[in-house]
Amino acid sequence: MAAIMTGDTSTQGAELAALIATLADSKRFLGERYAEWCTAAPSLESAVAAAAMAQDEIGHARSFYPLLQDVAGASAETEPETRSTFAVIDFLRAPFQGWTDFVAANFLFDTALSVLLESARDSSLKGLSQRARRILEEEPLHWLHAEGWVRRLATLGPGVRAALIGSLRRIDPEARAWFNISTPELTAAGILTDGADSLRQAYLARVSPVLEAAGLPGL
Amino acid sequence: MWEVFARRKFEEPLAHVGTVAADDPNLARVYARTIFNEFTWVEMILFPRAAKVTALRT
Repeated sequence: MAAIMTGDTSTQGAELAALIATLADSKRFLGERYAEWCTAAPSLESAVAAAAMAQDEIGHARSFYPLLQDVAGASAETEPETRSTFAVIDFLRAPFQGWTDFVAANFLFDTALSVLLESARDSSLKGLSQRARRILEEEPLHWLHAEGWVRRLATLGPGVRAALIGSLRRIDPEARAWFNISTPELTAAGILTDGADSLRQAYLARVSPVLEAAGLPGL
Repeated sequence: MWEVFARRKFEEPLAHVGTVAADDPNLARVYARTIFNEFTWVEMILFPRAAKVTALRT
């Protein structure tokens, strides 16, 4: 097994830094997008849930930035407050256009993040495995929220259903492509246990049964 | 509507802590846990208000 050491400036070291940066920025932007719905969700209950999930995601992001400093070195670009270039999917770069965007991101991208973190549970990078295990303890609640809302929106009439399908179809290609962050070099080094194709299969195995049960088209 | 009960210690009885509105049991679970999170509960249960059985009414 090839080793990737922290502070490594090799290609493998750069890929590790890219992985941690992507995890940190993705969690940060997902949390910020969730937070924008703390006062705009369809009910008081879902507003509280949005706030709780935003708090979780931003906390997860906050835990990844010190790890980014460990692997990439301290600089303005590894400090969350001064970082200016972010590794995040386009869907999360702008505010959600509606609640169906929120639910689609919660259902697909939050799940994609969890699938990747499950592949980091036994990472050779101890700081990553520790964070992955801790974060995965909180994610089941996010999944319950996501699949519950997918089921609910699928039954709220053709307009809502069409909007949900549109949101799902806009984020899904980005979520799937996002798994390319798991490179052969990272799996060879034991940073992640699964490659991009395996992660995509695990993601589809998680979300497809919910879509099918809700009578929604597959991805 | 769901009635939510919780307890902080196993030796304590479950106490009514409030209600949540949801038409999906999983969403009700999420709402109960995120809304009534003021304590570290050891158990939280909920049941639909429609399932109540009235034993006495004066």
